[in-house]
Amino acid sequence: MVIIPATTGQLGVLPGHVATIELKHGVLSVHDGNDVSNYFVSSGFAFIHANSFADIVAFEAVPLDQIDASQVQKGLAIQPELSLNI
Amino acid sequence: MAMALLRREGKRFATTPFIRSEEIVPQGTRSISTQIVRNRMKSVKNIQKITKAMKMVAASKLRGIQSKAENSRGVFQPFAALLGDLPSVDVKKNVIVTISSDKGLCGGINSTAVRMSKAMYKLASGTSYIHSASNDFGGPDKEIKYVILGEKAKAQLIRDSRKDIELSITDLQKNPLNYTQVSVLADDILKNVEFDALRIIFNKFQSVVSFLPTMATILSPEVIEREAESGGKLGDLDSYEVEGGETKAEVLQNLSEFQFSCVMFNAVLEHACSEQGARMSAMDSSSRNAGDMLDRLTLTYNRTRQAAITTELIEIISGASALTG
Repeated sequence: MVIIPATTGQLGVLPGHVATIELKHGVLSVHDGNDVSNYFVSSGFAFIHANSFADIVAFEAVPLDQIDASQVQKGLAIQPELSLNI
Repeated sequence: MAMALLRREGKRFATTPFIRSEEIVPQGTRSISTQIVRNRMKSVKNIQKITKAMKMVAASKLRGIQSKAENSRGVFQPFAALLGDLPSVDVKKNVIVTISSDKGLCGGINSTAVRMSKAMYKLASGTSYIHSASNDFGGPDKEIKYVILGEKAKAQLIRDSRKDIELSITDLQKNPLNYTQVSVLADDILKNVEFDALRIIFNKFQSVVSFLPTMATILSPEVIEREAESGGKLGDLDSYEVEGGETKAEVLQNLSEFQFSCVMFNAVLEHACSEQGARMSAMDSSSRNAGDMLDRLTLTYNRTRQAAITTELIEIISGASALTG
């Protein structure tokens, strides 16, 4: 199952989802059995095909554990207009 | 009387063994041909060293780019799954994007890319009319333009299609290739060139010795709309729910532009890999040729040297025997 940040909120995708095209910047989390991996994605597209295949193409995708929270806060302090309400 | 003459002749032989009266050859240069052969051998050996070094450099560069290229193959596949690749689409404005290298000595990959571009041009401009079962390709009112990446294709295409070249970009590989650079490039092309279909021609990297000239087709949003409505491969594009507050036209435009930049990224990386691989094999074969040439020259040199020594020996011995006998 994948949780995709969509323009209308969080979209949980399981096999058998209706075909959709969607993505917004935010946190994408992939649940593989009991493994959860979180990524931060900037803009892009997520195609969910009718045959239960999902393709996610993002401009930039960073695993969340590679992002340093304090650095982000410092960056936001310098340029507050870049802060996105996620 | 005769004996005195012979004795005098013998003395002349004994004192000046290296000059014969018939020949006007300066002293010590009886083996003039070995000098030439030796010079050739030196230059061939230097060339062999250079080509070996170039092969090593190309091999190391290839290793670096190859993993990047293989990873980038996954980037454009979702688009191919969604929108398909329709090389036979019939549109008015074709733009052919040819990807080639800036540096030479890389075998035939640039020529194959240029040949494919020229063939595509002919096909699309209708000078060779192709009737297929499904559509008529080509026609007199079609517009085709070139966008050229790399010096080599520019040099070849500028000769006969100068007026059709819309944009030409060189010095692509000065900095290591990354997506941001390619997306800026793609943005440039999209802004300056009007197109209905973009055809990207590049060499796909299959292995170090084999490259496949490939063409990737990207359609503009209007053409996608048209193809989706007419059914066929893109017919079920409408079955996808598009969430968010954008209209279908905007989504299609975003899709098309993103697809272009992804495909360009993959194409540029594949081309870089093919270039290094082709350079490796070209330099390898030229090192081998240089080695063969060196072997042949060594044989010639030894033969000439031994012949010269033998002639000297014969002269000395015949001179000595003329003295004693």
